[in-house]
Amino acid sequence: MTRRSRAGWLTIAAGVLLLVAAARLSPVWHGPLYDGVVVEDPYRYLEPPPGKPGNPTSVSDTLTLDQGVSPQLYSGTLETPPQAQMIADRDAFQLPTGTTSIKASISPIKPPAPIAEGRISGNVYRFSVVNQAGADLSLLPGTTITIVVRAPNNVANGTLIHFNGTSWDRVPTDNGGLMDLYATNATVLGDYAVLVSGAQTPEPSGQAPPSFSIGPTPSATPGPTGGQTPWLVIGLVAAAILVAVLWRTLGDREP
Amino acid sequence: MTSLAASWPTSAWHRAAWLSAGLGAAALARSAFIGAGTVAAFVVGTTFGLTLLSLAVAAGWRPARLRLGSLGVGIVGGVILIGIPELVGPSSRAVIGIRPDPFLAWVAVTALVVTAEEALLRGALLSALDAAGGPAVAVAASSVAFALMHVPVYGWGVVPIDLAAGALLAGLRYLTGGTAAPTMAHLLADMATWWL
Repeated sequence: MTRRSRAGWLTIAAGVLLLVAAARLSPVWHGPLYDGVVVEDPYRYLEPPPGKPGNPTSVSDTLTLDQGVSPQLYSGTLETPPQAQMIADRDAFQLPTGTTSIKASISPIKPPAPIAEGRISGNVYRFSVVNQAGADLSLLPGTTITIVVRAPNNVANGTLIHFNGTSWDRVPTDNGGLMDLYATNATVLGDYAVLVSGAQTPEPSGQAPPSFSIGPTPSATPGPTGGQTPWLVIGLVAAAILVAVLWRTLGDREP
Repeated sequence: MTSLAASWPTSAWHRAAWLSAGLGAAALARSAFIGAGTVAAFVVGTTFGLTLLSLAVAAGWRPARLRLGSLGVGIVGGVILIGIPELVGPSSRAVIGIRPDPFLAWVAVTALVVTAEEALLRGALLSALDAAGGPAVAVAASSVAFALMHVPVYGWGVVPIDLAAGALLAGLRYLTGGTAAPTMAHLLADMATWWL
């Protein structure tokens, strides 16, 4: 076996092991992110700032039961990518007697209550699953439903929040596949939104935050934020390498 | 007139640094256009692919003669890249919206981007790093570059799976000696996102 093929086999083996580990550790499945064409349409606001698109979509999917239990569920609004999604495994919901079908709905709503700190970025979405009689379904103990909410383009430092009936709670938040997609494995449905904390992040549109926000007025000066920091680090490292190489290369040409 | 290739740094480390800087700059530039819609995505994807291809060619990368065996190895690699996350990943699926119409245009631009990324990463950059520091350095650094170039678009959550994919694709390059196998594997994995 040549050095090259030995390196190849070893590297492939390491790659497979890493792939298994990465897939196992990922909280939310999404298509292999090895690249391609990345399409993201402008964000649609329920109450659009001037010059920004409105008319966000709602979705309602009716599904029949799968051998007496709730079927695997995927529901997402119609933007690209969807501004709100919910994903549940088969047999995730408690079904009242007589249930024959379920209806999963996602719709943008006005915020049911103001938030105490920070501001809501984008729309609040209401997630519900009911049976054919309109009875709300709850999740079986030990099961979760994945909620994915998209923030306006390039909002990268958000956290998902859930309305508990009287106030908003932060929920554990994972990346949902793109910089501005936020996901959580939730135990309850209801109203979810993306919270942007602090005053340092302006709405990426450059507009004032929507009127329902009560948080501090965002600074007009874009500054480094948690989400933007990686970009800056990468850019600075690339620029430093570029400068160093340019310097060395031009230096090499000195007589 | 001095050609671009002739003025390219001759030191392997220099070449690797140039390529990394170019890749980083192109990735950052591309990310600035995310959110502008489908047409912009096609235009930016094409520009991004041509930029990476130009960098790779300027650094001395040339496509080798295509061998069927390499394509076969690439198909197996693609099945692994698609299959492992399918088999062992969580069942919760998020949609990130990479189904732009028209389909054929998407296929064409995706193929260009994939070919360019492989020419640069597993072609020019891996060769430069291998010459400079050996296979271990080449695999590690090219995989890190592959993972980091996706961060501006997908966020830091993409790093583990793209590090793994980068290592696997580098392995295919070492095993077959060319970029056809990693290109085929990468292309299959990207094509699969239409259906998955």
